[in-house]
Amino acid sequence: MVEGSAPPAGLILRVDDRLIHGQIVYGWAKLWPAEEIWLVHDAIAADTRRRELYEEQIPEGVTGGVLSLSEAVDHWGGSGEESRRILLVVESCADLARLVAEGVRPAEAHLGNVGRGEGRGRVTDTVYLGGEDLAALETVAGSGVSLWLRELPSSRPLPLP
Amino acid sequence: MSIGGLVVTHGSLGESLVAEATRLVGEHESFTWMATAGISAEEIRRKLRTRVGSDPWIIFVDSPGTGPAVCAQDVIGEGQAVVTGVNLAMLLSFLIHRDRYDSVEELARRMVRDGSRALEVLWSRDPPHPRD
Repeated sequence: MVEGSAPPAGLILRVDDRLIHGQIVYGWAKLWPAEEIWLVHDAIAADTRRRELYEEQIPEGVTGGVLSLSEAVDHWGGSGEESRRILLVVESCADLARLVAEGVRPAEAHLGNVGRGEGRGRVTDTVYLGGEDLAALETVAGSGVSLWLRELPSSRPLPLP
Repeated sequence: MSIGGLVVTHGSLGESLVAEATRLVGEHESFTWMATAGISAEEIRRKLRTRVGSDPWIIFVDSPGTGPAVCAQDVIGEGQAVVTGVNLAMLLSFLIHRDRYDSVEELARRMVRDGSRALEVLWSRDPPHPRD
């Protein structure tokens, strides 16, 4: 772990368009280590087959599953500080902004993976952002949420451009 | 038509595995790899759907529970399979044996058997190891 860069205990919101994947089930589940991991995704939460597929990916010993955005807001919106290490994974900067706008206040929010796309420019090897992403992130930062670029618990968090 | 083989891994593992398998047993149709770096799960799924359609394919991935594996399991339908833990021995067996199989299910099970057979500990022969 790089000195002074460890992620805080508590609630972390992560933008990751790879959803539940290796960095989550190895890096965040084993190294942080997360006590809870939730994929917050409206389309997957509404589709039984896909919801079950993603629920199966939550590592053994970790509480978690798939929630819709409004379910996540019900759980964590307006809540006080979390003492458990909880990772919420959302697919997009827009979903992150929506959770924050509806009162979810994480100890940290970060961008893990945002893939190449139309109108997006490279920020790092794993993060590409466009105008809509940047506008959404501005509202998140404007709410006083600590916002970084971070791949793994062990990586030094980088400031957004 | 032979059952297709698509290798979808982290980084450039897939490209190297396909290149080395091809170097050892020759070029084959419907045997290829797909890159996943820097693209979203949605884009991986779109590319997978375009590649395999509803045709008989086996998608080889490196580790279960990781992005490529989850995306592949998400898109496959009947007569298609995902095999995890891909290694060179498994792909060589695939290329050597696939024309004998009409059933993706049976060929996929063979891939797991033959891939597993490549896992061994080798001890020094000098002096002969007591575990031999």
